Amino acid sequence: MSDQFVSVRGLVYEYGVNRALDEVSFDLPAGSVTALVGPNGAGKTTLLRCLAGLERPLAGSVRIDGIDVLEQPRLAHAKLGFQQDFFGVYDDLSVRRNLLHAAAIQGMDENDMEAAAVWAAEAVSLSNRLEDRAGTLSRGLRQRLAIARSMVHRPRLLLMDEPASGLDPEARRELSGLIRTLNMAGMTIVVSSHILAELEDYSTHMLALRQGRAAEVAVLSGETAPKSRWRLGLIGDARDALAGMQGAAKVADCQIIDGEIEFSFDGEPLDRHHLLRHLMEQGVMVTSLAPTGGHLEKLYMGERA
Amino acid sequence: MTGIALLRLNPELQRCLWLELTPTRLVLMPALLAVAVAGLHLSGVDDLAQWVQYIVFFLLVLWGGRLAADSFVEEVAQGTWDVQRLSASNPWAMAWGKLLGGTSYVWYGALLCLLVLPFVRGRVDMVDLATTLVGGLAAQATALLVVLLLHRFDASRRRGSTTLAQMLGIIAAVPSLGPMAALSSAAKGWGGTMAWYGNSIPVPAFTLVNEIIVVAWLFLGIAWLIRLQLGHAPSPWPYLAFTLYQIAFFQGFLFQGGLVPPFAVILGSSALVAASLTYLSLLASPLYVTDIKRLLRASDWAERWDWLPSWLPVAVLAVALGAATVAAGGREWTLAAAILALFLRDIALVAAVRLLARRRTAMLLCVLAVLLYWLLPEVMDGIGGDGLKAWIFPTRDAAPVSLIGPWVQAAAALVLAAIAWNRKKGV
Repeated sequence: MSDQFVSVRGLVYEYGVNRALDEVSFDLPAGSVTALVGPNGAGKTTLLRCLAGLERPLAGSVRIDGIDVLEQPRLAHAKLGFQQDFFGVYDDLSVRRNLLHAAAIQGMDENDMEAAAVWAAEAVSLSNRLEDRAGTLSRGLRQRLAIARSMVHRPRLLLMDEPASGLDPEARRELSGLIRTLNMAGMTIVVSSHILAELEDYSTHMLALRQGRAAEVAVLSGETAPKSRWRLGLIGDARDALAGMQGAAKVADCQIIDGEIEFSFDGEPLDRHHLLRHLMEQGVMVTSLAPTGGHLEKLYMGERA
Repeated sequence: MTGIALLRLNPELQRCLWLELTPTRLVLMPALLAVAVAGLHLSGVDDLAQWVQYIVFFLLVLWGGRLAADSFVEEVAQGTWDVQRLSASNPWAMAWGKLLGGTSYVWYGALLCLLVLPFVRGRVDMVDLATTLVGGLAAQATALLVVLLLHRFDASRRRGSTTLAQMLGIIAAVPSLGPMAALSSAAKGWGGTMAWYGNSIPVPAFTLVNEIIVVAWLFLGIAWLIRLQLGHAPSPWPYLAFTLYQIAFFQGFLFQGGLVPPFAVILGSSALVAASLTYLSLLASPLYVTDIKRLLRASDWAERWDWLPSWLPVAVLAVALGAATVAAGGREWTLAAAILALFLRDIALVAAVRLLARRRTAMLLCVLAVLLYWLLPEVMDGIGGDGLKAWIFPTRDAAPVSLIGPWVQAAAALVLAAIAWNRKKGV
């Protein structure tokens, strides 16, 4: 696996006199799921469109799996899929034909196209609608079809711009599962969304854009990721409990918040068991132990754990 | 060939065929044609074959042009064009897939008409018929080219381009289908021929071959524009090659019989063609600040060449040919200098208008053209004759001092363009 599957250097993009991206540089490793976050107007969609070769930046370079997107856009297109923030499906074609066409324009072999179309439809739970006209599908189903179109050729890099918008809660959960499945199959994925909690489910990295200027990549999971935060519920004086936690294995950065103790912990389930037993031996009356959640949000808001 | 095999060969063609040739439409077309032909037959027209050819004209030129334009405009409106732009297909395949696939329904109708022709009263000339077919293709290609060009000006434009494209498509088909068709029929009666590079060529054959070449150039233009849409850098080569072809084409009319025109005439007419095509490209191309910045930032000559606007090398060619014309004794230098000044003025004015005006740039440029090329020269002429007119417009045998007028205009336009650039260049 290359450490620089996606490599962006000095990317500058301007709309008229406005600079949407200003010297943006970052690397994304192969096999990562990157949450692309930032406020409205930060340049997330512009960045995704530049990565996909749909927009030509004023300066800078974009390389995907070693291919210069600006120099060889069609070669890069065969390696990537881009689900945009609008549907982009052919309403008058059936779901099957939409998927076959998407496979064909990415140069898939004719013997593989049919199977690929069926696989993509199955992945987004559209198997039973293959012969339906896309125009007859509901908004959510059309969104799923757009996702299926973008991944039918099993790209090495999948770019998704607000993939969950328009999806019902059940479909969103399925989408999270799909992203995890595609990632486990080796796909590198970049997902842009405003809903940080949703991104947290599957993201391994976070790329934050602020007003098109600073792009910083933070690792969310893996060995180099910051330790996850946990919260210990208890009865009694939290200061006693805090003293009891000193010296416990794999515990760091303990602090009292609202009468409970929040701390960083990178242990396995067995380590949690040992921690709880240690606390009970110290006489701490533990009522709960749970991850704090909102890790991505805290990281994004600058509250690095 | 199966649908899947065609899909692999040309996805755009197969997609268009899926949309255009539905079972209902496949039945509807012959039914409508049968009603039309039966109606004409019953009304007792003498030359039914000629009327069938008119139907082909209607299908391919009037309807086909609209379908060709729609094949692109509808994609932009539906938001599928950005999906197509992510394609790994090559631009040539997409160009012919869109051109032939998008118009496949009218070609289906035309094919049915051709099958009917041997069985109806009257006869059509095969060259005329071939010219009608090629003219239809020219109309469709022009319509597609026009909507692609308009898209470069305003990518968010969803509707409204189709009618303009259709009309220009009809104009493109005129040489083969409109007055020229009538003219060629009359010319045949008179034994009319066209002299080109000293050769005597029958007008219908000349028209047909010329229209085929025009279609080839239109197709190159479409593929080039699609190539840009697929993310490739532009290049001025295609338009420069088109200019050289047009120069060579028009030179052919100067060679009458065994006579070879003077060298200065050849150079002068070439300069005129190059200058005309500079204006055509200048007016048909948007001007993006980012493109100019890319050109200025380019790190090597190959990249600089790629980002040159198409009109610029052609403009340089026109100026070089104009200078060579003067050197060869074709025209007095004062006239050439005045023309050069107005050439620079116009280029600078178009650039300034494109940079400063957000909307209705075409209208503004038309107003300026009327003002600078008709109203002001006429007023000056009315007040002081050629002597005064020369201060604002190139005039033969003008005094050298009158050159101050055109060059002041050029300088003012260049200053205006520089101001516009400084205002719009941003960071």
